[in-house]
Amino acid sequence: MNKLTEFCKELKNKDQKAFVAYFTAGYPNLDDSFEYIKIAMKNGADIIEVGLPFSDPVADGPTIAEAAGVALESGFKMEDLFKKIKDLRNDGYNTPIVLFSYINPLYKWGFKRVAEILKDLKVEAVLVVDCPIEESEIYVPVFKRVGIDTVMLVSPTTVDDRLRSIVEESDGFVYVISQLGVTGARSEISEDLESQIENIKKYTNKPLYAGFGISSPEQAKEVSRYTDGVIIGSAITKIIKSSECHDAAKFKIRDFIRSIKEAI
Amino acid sequence: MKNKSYFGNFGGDFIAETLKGPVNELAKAYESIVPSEEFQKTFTDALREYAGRETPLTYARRLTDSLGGAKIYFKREDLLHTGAHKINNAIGQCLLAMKMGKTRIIAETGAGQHGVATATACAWLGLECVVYMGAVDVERQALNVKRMHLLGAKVVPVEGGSKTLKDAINEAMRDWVSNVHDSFYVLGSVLGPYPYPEMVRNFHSCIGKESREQILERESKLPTEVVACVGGGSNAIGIFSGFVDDKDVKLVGVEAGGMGIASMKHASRFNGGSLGIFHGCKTYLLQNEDGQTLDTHSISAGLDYPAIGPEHANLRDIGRAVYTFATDEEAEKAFYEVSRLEGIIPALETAHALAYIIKQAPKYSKEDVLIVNFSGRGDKDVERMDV
Repeated sequence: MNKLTEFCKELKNKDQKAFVAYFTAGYPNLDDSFEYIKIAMKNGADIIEVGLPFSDPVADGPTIAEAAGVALESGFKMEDLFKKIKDLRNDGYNTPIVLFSYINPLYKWGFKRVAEILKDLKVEAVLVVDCPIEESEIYVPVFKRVGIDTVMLVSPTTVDDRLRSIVEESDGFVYVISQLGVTGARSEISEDLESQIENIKKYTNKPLYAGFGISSPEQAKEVSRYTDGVIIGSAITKIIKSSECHDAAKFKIRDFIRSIKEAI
Repeated sequence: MKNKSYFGNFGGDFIAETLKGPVNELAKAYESIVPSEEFQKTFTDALREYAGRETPLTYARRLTDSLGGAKIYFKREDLLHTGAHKINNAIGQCLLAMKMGKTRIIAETGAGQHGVATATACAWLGLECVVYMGAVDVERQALNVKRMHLLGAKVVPVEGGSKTLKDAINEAMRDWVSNVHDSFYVLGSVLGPYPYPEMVRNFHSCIGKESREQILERESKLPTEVVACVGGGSNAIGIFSGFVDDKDVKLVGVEAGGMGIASMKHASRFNGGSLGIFHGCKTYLLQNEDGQTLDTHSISAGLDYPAIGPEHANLRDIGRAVYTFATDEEAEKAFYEVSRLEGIIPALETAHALAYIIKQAPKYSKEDVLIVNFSGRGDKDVERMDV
């Protein structure tokens, strides 16, 4: 069993809800983004999703799409990201990391090359946003071969046989997209989420974490009632965007992370 | 599954899980509804009675004489309702949307022709229409924005990214993901996940079919070359499809050479592009070493796009078609020349194919025939050109 799978299983066995915090690498610049990641790791985030900024983030709403744009403008390069992760690990930050990416950057670098690098960096998992299970053999076996977990997404429109295949293939946890739509904090969580989760439970015992739209401790608490974890991205990104300066952002993020961890 | 969505090594279905549901629904509907006799009749009737097909194959006498080489024929998609080939596909997809019970149509547009065509089809069929257009394109194709408004469509300028076609597609896809139940995404070219590349080609195949019949009637032989400009690739695939089985007919696609290949300000996917996975399909893409798409440039909005339709990538790969490019400057010259010599103002996109013809025709004798797909008229470009 790979590291992430083991980690998530343990949390579930202890009946502990997981908090996954997403950060766009390089937003607003590479150094700051990694300081925020460290803060999240120190203040209660169980897993960190490191988002690779992409020029055409189709699945992302305005908050994260803009963050990706800013990251690219500020000179983001994958090479630099890998160096940063190496430093992170060397400094003793060992919280599990999922590399969250659109398929093209990984395809361009070469899946094998990326898999080897991630293995070296002790990045536990990868999640590819725009490669459905029907095409997944292009990358999944490559990562599995070196012991890296491949996390899969299911959406409200994923049903029946496809749902079964996807949850079977997903490692670590199953990322349940809670809303129809793109990433983005919402004021209301879809009331269908609970029934969506109940339906998925018919197909698997794997940990189910819900994401897209969760933006407050209250929402996180509510969602964690019937899921094994919550994933928060846009809300954190918004904090970074709206903070007056880097130091203010650090404090706000620390407080936010703590408040979520407490709530669930 | 995998095979039907691929053209050789290119194509596929690389989309976010959130879109898989609607794309699958679309694929099933496309496969069961479109081939039916009933649909085909409705479609053909609409093309004839509303869009104005069959379009003429015009002999370009003065251009031919001035170049002194092969006989040049224009396939007149500029004469189609709305002034470009785009409406073949817009009508096809909107009819399919209606059959599926969808009431809201989303489209992206570059030069505006696909947006206008979709707005037109929606007005004719009574569907709600929302068109996404890059903010840069909204400015450079203002006439088309006005037309869309007049036709009752909502035009949403897209400020993200490079503010051109690829960003409009991003925004259209985001809209679709958020409105899957009542909305249908009318993609304007032979790109995207299955079934779009195949479906769009099929809706444009009338161009090639007609051209082949017409040229045999006029010249009693097949053309030496069939030429078209290539942005996403829909007009080119449309005309190529009529001749793809005629091995002696050379198929030539002309990309946007922008300010020249060396300048890195162009949209020639086959000159500097590499295999990538983008907007749903595996194809040739202009990208950097990190897989980020490059900012493309062309004087013509419709060719200004970093990826090429996967079927084109395959035609090139198997050696069935060749691809070249024309620069902004060459396209502009062709724009003026053809206006003066033939009395038809071409779209700047089309002018790229014409620029190639102007270079190529003199290399042939009068026995040879070249057909160029006159994909659209240039009224939308007149404002920006010098007189």
